[in-house]
Amino acid sequence: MERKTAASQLKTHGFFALAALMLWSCIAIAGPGRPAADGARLYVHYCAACHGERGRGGIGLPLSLPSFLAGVDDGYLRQTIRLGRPGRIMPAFPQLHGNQIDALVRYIRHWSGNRPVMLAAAGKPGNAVRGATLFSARCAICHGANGVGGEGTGVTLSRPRSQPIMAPALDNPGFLASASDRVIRTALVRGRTGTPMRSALKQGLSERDIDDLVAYVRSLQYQPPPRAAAPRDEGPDIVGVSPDGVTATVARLKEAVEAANMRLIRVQYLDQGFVPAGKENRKQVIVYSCDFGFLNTALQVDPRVGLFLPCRVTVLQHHGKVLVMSVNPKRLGTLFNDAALSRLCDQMYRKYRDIIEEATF
Amino acid sequence: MRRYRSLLGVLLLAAFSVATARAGALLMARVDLPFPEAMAQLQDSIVSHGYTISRIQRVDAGLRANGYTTAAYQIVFFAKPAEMRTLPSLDPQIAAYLPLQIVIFAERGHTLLLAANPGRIASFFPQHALQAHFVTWAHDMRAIFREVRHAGQ
Repeated sequence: MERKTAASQLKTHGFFALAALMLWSCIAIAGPGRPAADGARLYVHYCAACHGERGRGGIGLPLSLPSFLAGVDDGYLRQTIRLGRPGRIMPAFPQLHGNQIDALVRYIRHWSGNRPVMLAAAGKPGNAVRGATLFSARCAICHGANGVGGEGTGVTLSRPRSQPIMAPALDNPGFLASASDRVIRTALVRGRTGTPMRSALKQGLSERDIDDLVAYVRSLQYQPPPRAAAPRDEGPDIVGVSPDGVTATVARLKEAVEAANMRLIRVQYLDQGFVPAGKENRKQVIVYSCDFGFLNTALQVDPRVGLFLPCRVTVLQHHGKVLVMSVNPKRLGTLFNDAALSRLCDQMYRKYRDIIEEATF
Repeated sequence: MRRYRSLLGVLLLAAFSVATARAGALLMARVDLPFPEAMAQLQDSIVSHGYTISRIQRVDAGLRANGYTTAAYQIVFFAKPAEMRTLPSLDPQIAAYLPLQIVIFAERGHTLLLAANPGRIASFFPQHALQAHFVTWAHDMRAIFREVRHAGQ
């Protein structure tokens, strides 16, 4: 009886120890706490991966660019951090408190030596219809028709780029909620030295033209927001059930991969490399393949696409059924906040689905 | 006691849900090291957390062999052998997400690390039996990213 009680107590203590460890892990995952509003530390934690340690850009825009810092006020930076750019990679950071955002803004400002921001003078109410015509003629070549923005990510020398930075999406609800009319006007009046954005005045436009362009950009906020990601009710996998055994299914899968113009890379057991050679579970097989042309395109849209790589389909026997499955790119795509990548995920989804259907028909 | 356990279980799940919702969907880190050094640090760190590296996918080599230009871009696959054996039995659909992976690629003189946050992937799999694994993976991956980043400082 005593032994049973002791065992029971040990079990209880063990349970609470495990619970405490899990709780601590959850708190740790939640990130930096409220009181520690150290801008440099927050920047490294949340921003540096994309914008660079010194704000020189990468996947994200070069925040330390003097012409950028001189042309946006703190309100723009705060709102951008808070709201992000839905569907344009830059995530929202709703988990950051006001003092943390202020610390980040101060840290970003230090790259300009904390020089005061001098925005262009406020303009007059403009004519959005006339602004639309001007926009099509002067701005759409970089910012896209209706201000949808350039494609691909920002500065990187890792891969060839058509432009040193990606033109911002002016129709993005995050941008429009962050940029005041004066911020937009400042960019038009002065341009952004170090980027393809040139001063509208130097291009021969008048103050009235600029007011009309501001009115047009402001009118874009009535456009429907871009689609950020696929619906979250998608399952985690695309799954088919094969009528054949594992070996025959793998053979059919290889044929289906090649029929889909994918390059077969390798076939291996799921636990290969984790157990001694010859001891693998032969009822669990992965088929790796790749469409390198598609991959190259996808990497230029978003270099984070590696999380989908290489294309792999798993064949696995479970409770007498042979399942053929891959990750569901539509579901995984919801992690990226990139509408352009979501479109590629739709293509990947169709390709995976067709291959799995062909292999299990 | 059973009532307390249930309450604690609910609290833990709630805390984990809040934490993962607040955590980013992707784990990313910029390492101030050239690619080869960062890759070596990454592998050391993964192994030091008790994982086995099964394979390194050289995406860059495949791209170059097919005529495309790219900087170093590779994927490290890793897992714990016991988990590879047991988890697909708990839920076969998790097999498509195994082994775990970290993408590592060069950007100028720096190296970037990237992974899907296991805390977010956890929401794809509601089975309670899997949740503790996701918590551990999220914790370990954050530690691995932190260690590699600090190695570059």
